[in-house]
Amino acid sequence: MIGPFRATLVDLGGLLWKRPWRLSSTQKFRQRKRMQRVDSNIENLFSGLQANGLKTHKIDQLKYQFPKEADMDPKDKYTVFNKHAKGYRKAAHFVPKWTKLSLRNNPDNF
Amino acid sequence: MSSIIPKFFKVTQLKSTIAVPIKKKQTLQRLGLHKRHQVVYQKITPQQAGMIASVKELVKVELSVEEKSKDQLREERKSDPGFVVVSKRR
Repeated sequence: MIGPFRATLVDLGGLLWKRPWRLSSTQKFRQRKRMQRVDSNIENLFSGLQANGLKTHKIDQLKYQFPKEADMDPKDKYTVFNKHAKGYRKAAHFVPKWTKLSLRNNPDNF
Repeated sequence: MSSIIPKFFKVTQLKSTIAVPIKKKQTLQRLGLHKRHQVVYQKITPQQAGMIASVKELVKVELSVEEKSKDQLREERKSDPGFVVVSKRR
C-alpha cells in the first residue's frame, strides 16, 4: 500500500521494539564463534603451560570446570537467567556488553 | 624435541577496551596491548597465563616457539612484489 495512509509500524503508533526478543541466526552464529575463540584461548593457555611442565589453579579451573561451547545447550548459549523475565530467562543480547562477556554459567539450582 | 616446545603466548587484541572495566583495561596495558589487532609475545609462565585468562574474551591466544619482533611481523605482512631489486642506479 502506497500513499499517506499506508500502514507502517511508525504510522500505526504505539510502542516499537527496536530490539527483537530473540537473537537472529547470524547473531547466534557470531556468538558461537566468540565462544569457540574463548574455548581455544583456554585450551592454548592450558597446553602452553603443560608443555613447559607448569600448571596453575585458575587455568585448570577454566579447562575443566568452565562449560565448553560444544557441550552447551542452545538455551544456555543464547539466553541468560533473569529474575524479572517471564520464565526466568531473557535473550543474551539484552545483557550490556554481552559480546565482551562470558555468560555461560547459570545460577545454582536453576 | 626442545625446539618444538612452545615458549611464548602470542596474544592478539581483537576487541577494543572501550567500556570494559578498568581492571581489564589495565591488564591489557600490562600485557603491552593498546589497540586492536596489536600482537605481543609473552613468556609462558603461570602469571602471564592468569593475566591473559582474565581478558580471554578480548584477545586471541596462540602458542609460539619463538618471539618475533615488531620489524619481523611487519616484514611478514608485506606482499610479494613479484620482482627482486638486483642493484640501484647511482
